Amino acid sequence: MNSKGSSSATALRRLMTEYKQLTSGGSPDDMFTAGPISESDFFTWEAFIRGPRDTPFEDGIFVAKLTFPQDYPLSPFKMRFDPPLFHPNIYPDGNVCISILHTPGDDPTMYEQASERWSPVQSVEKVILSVISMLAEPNLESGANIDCCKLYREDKAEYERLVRESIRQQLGV
Amino acid sequence: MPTNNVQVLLSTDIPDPSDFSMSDLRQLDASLRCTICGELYDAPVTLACGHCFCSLCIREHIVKESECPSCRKSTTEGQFRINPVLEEAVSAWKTARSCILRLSREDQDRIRRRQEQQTPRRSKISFMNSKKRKLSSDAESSDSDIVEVVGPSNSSDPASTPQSKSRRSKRRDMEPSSDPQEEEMEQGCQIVNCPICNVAIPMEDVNTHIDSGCNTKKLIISSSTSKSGAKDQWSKIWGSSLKKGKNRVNGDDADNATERIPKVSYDVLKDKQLKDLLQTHNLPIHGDRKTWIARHKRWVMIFNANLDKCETNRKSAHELRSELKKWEDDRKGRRHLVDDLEAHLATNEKEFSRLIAEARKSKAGKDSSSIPVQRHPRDDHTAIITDSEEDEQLPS
Repeated sequence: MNSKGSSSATALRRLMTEYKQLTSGGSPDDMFTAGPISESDFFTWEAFIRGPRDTPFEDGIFVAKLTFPQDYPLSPFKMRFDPPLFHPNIYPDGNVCISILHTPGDDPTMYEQASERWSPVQSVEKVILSVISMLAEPNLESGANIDCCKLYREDKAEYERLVRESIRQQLGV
Repeated sequence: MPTNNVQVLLSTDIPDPSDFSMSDLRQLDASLRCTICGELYDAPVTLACGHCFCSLCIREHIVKESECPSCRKSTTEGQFRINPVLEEAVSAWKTARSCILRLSREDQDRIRRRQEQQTPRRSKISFMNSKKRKLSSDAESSDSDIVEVVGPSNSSDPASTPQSKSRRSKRRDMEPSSDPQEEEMEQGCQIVNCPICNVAIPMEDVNTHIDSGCNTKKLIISSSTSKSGAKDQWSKIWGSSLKKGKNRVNGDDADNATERIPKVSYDVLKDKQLKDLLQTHNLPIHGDRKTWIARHKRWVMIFNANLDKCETNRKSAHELRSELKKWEDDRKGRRHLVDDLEAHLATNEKEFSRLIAEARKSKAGKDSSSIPVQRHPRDDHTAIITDSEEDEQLPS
């Protein structure tokens, strides 16, 4: 608590830069877009992520909310899919469990390597790209949705069917 | 609070590498930026692994994790080396940047205009070429984040030999206190890093050093002079660190100091000593103990980071103080919010129940007997004061 608070102005400037770079450069292959929900609050972003090709997620567009701390980038942001995604590494409430968004203090599964954790040189772009690769290849060692993990391990065909069905439901097809 | 900042920031254009359409220039701009804050380097320091960051950025980071944000090799403040060569390059780029930006935009316009004027066939080819180039530059830019990380170390590599020389000589100028240490090292004493302030000190002096609140300078004096009794030494340490501090309040030398402030082990300091410590640096002493410690910690951070700049670029102590105030105001706005009310109640339960018990006791005492009345108002008073302090920390 003591020296944690770096001024939020630093966080703001860094977020503005990241946003600017995302909008000018675009994401590789247009896999996602991300930006603040409103201009009055730069600390809450929304990301639209396209499901990676050749996976059960391929037809879906997923919405995630990113919440940034005041001392960003010293601390990582939080990412939550809304509506939640049925995936081994996504909690039933939609929060994403991925090592790149964890600081050394919070390692819920004790399986992570220090090299995979958050560091201030990470960015929104890098995290979302990691999340996309996580969608394609779940990490069963650090499961967040145990039922989903079990299903994935025991009956992958059924898991894929459920995922496709939930996506169809979301799209209202 | 962030709302205002956003509006201010939206009206100002924040320069960043994507201002340049040419990938080479984008790369150049990116390689002169700190990968933590994304700004052009401000007081760049190099870590033992070779990666480079703004002094303040990395100082803020290692409070949380003592490793390099890029390669995760463990690092300490003692390993930071100033990088005046890079600082010079950055300041040169800063002045040249707008000019180059304008030139590159003009160049782009000229190319586009020429394409429009030329015959359709030729223009088609050149257009295709430029498009191709643009595509490849886009692809590069998407990878550029990874390259960016390597950038600083790459850029400092070729210059490392002359640079390290000048760096070392510069350091010696800036830290006269390190000279005696180096001499002692030559004499064969075992030198260790202080676990608190990371200053290298002879092994035998570690305890005295820590007990004295990491006051290196005084320690060296006391250890080099003939040992004239422990009592004498103690009075020297306290006397010099405290009295001198008070004298300094009025003098300018505290403001123009070019010596880094050592870290302090706050737990061993009494309130009075903490206050003196703050006054040594002309800092305000309002607030409670927690505020003092936070204030002093931040001051040490920004003061030492400021020393990592070239002398001509340094901010004055006055500017630093107003920065500190801004930081504190910023924080105060945030601190009143208690995230988890139940957790807050649980952690402070003892204190709360003690206060309630005290208040009850004094109230009951007042009602039952009239003899100890003399004492009671005082008890009551203290209870009320602490109570109100507690209230301040509770969510309003």
